[in-house]
Amino acid sequence: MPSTADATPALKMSGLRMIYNPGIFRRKKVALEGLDLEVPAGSTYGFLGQNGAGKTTTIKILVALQYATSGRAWIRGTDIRDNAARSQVGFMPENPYFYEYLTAAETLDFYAQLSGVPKNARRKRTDELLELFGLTHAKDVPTREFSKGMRQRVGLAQAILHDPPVVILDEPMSGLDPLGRRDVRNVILSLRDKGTTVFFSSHVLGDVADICDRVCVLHQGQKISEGPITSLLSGRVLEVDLSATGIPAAGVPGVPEIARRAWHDGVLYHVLVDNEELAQKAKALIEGAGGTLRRFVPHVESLEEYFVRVTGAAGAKRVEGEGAIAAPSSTKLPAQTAESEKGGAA
Amino acid sequence: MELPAAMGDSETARMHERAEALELRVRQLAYIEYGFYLWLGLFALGAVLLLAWVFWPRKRALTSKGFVDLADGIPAGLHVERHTVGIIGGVLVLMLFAITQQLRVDAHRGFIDDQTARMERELREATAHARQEVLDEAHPTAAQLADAGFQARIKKAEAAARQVIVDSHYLYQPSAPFLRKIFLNNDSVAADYVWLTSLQYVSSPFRRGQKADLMVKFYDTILELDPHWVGALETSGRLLSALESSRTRAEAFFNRAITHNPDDYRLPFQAGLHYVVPPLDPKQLPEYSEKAAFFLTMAMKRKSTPPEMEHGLKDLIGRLSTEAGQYQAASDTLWGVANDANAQEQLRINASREWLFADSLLRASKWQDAVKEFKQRFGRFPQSLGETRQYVLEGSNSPWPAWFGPSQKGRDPIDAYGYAITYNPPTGKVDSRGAQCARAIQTHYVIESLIELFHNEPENLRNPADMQELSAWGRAYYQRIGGAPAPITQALGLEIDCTASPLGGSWDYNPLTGELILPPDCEVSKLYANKAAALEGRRPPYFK
Amino acid sequence: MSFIYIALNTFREAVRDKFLYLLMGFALLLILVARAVGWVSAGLDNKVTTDLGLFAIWLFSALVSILIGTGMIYKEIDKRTLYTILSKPIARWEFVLGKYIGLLLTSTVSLVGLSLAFLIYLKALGSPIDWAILQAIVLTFFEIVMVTALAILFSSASTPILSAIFTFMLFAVGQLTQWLVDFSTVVKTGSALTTRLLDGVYLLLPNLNNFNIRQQAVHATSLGKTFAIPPDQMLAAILYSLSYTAAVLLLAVLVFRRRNF
Repeated sequence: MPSTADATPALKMSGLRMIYNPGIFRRKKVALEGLDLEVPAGSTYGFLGQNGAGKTTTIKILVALQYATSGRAWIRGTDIRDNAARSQVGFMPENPYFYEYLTAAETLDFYAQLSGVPKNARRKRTDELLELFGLTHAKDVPTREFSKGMRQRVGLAQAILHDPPVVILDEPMSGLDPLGRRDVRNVILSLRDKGTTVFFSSHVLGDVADICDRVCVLHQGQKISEGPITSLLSGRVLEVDLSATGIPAAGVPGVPEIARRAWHDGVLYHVLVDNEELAQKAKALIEGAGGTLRRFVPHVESLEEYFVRVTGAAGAKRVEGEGAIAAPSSTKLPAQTAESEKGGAA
Repeated sequence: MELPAAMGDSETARMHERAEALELRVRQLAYIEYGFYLWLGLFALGAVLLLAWVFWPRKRALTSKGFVDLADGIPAGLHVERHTVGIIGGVLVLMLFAITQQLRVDAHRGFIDDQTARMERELREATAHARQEVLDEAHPTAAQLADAGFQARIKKAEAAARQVIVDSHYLYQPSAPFLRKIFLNNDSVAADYVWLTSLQYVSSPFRRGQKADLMVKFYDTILELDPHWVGALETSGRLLSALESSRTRAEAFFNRAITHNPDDYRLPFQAGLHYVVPPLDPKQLPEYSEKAAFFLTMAMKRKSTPPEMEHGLKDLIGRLSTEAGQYQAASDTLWGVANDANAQEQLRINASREWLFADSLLRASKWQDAVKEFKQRFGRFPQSLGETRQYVLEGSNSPWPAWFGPSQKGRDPIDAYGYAITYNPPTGKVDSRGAQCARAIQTHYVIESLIELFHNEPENLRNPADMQELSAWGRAYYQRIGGAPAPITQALGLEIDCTASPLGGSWDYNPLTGELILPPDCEVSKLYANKAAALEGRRPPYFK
Repeated sequence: MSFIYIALNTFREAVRDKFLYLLMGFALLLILVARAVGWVSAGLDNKVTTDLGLFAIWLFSALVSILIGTGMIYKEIDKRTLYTILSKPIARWEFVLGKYIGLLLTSTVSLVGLSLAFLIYLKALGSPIDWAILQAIVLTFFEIVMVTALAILFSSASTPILSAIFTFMLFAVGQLTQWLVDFSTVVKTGSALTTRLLDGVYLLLPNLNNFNIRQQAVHATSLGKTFAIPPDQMLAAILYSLSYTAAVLLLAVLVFRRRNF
């Protein structure tokens, strides 16, 4: 298992391009444009992007299901053109499917054979994994009869059969119920604890924010953002939520001009400002008016908000006429809106 | 095409026809080549595109290692899944093209010509065959033949036969080359199929009169597809034999089958049996018997003949040879069976009796040959057999058998039965008394049964007055019922002639008792006294 | 050598699919019906039964290869079972070879099963079983080796229906390549180029009639021979089958390697 001190990146991509030729009479489609990416060893890496951004293409190129038009990539220093590179990788595709007539145990045994797990260890390992993923009861059931969640679990199991140092997952949580998602999360976390590099794409940004160290956002084949989550999001404060007591119903003069919203709910005086600077000003005004600040909450941009912002900006630059759904009048998230409405009504 | 000078009109016309046909063929050839090139071009184009797709250099860095790592490139957009409709359409067009080309190929190769030629040949054969059948049945004299009505009858038969051939081409009677392709070269299964199809027609009432014309086509197809399927060919021959009154067509079929199966005994055996059954016209008996003997001998000589059949076959061959007039062969063969310790007792006894008959006829025929040669030499018949013998011993250069002329003069020649060899100087006819007696005994049984038949007729209830009356009555009787059975015609001829006795002259008939009286030496035990000698291998003496 | 695992797995998957048994059931039905057909053959039962039996074995084993094989790789792509396999450290040629061997195993099982049933049936009918019939069955096996390779080739290139059509067409044409040779001898009046090209096409197309000794096998005993064809001809046929198959598989691997999934 690689230590975090290992300098070789788990995955490295340099100038990856992928151009599809859909037909003789149609235009070529550019799926990836010059992607440069480095995934440090031992990290948990989130690979984000809208549908059709090129995430699956990248992943497929990494596991040699597709051949990139140009560019190179390495898995732990081994060029992916070498078949041996794939022995260091465990891959789970989106919506995995298995041979219909094989049972769960036979399926895992088959993949163990292909992954190069030595013969005497195979049985033990497959039993272990079946246990871990709670599939022991379905050991002798043909995969035809599996539910979606069970298939995802088998998919995940076959990816980690041979204990690879790098695990690549394509939308591991797609279509799962909350319990399923939680299971997948736990597996990824346990992998992280072991020091395995986990590289996965997902749309469930809340989980990504929780688990991942780093993310990369792909938009229409280009990398538009990359880095540790903390550094991507730390700078941005969407708004600051202040609440104070001891303010009369009329409010504090000067505040409504600098605040987005300011209202009194009978007990507390709420103020929403755009940034920290204005918040400090508001604070000063409130305290100047004799109020006591009870709450000072900066809403840091969530990953989702970051994502929407970043892809929206990139999208506005590149694509004309592609109808994005218009942003609602309030830029606040529904939860916040409801809260403020409640506050307003009261 | 240059035509030679001075040709008659019909010749010219024929030459023109052939020239045209040849030109047509040349043009067809050119067409075929042209079509073939186009076909091949498309094929090559497809292959080139496929190879290009595989080997075309692509702009790609991430190829896998290996010897086909030829640079990079862009896949050549031939994603089959996306152009399914187009590709299916293209394939259909190509198939259509290929089919039209194949028709030309077939035309050139004579496949279609072949069919036409076959049909023409079949029509010719059927016409000739129908004509022959009518002639065989009617046995017309020259006058009858010239008769317009008779000619019309022949024409009608020919037309009917031709109609059958034409109709049969509309029946499902595919030819061998066609079936071979349909069954993807599974000739054996194709032959099975034709066999099963043919069985339906054997017993069906459809085409009762011309069944054989129909069936021979099936059987020839089977022969072509699976020439070694002796079981089917044997049965086919037998069926043909049963379906036709004329035997030549079945014989021809047997011959074809035998050519392909030189080692099998069953086919010549069946061919022989085909001729064993006596003909309607007893005058044809020698010819049929000769053919039967020929085929059965062939069967006997084959390696695959089961040994237990040997003796029975030999006996049969011997008897057939006698009927065919091949007395030497008959005598030798029957002598062999009679002496063979391995043969069955009863068979040997029968063979010995037959041998006596055959050998007697052989001896008589030798004397007859001598008399003929004498006549040729001296222009008159010899006065006696003694004179003949003298001539043989002294004046003749031809090879005669060893027993023919021993130096004992004054001894009379006898036949195998021990009876005299009779000679009639005015006619120069030599005969064997013993053989005559044997025939007389046989014939008298036949006539006596006829007399009984006559007697039992409700309008008669008496014995016939004489042999003429019996003959006349017999003729009328059998004409009414559609023909006399073979034993009767063999013994008495087609005209049921009861008057002539094999002993020469007429029968000694007693109208009161309704019996024929045979001379005292025509008595069975006396006649066959020598058979014991034959059984023990002692040849009866040639002279008394 | 991961292709062994792929082969065994392919075989296992095919054997558990009901389709195989459907085809075999039809074949067995045909063999049984052959007896009935024999009954109406006017005393020529055994020949007809043997004929139809050998025919059924040949046809249905080929159909197993063609029908199962042509959908094989496409199904993997469509259902994406391919993704989890090719992403393992396995070379693409191993996948194609594994699929081929698995499919060959499946049709061999069908062939052997049908042959055993047929031979037992023949024994029960009292017909002798000669070496010639066994020889015919062995050559049928080598024909199946070639047909299976063709099925894999088309399967790796195209959709099931088209693959099945192409493969079956090649199978049918392969029986009749003799026709091309006959044609080229007849067309001698044309240019030498045509004759050469025809010969080239003849060589390129699979000569499956090479392996059709069924007619000789059926008549071997009655002609007094032990074997339907002499051993050197048989060896030549086997070598042809193996070399042609190798070439076709090579082409299949080349085609498969170029594909993007």
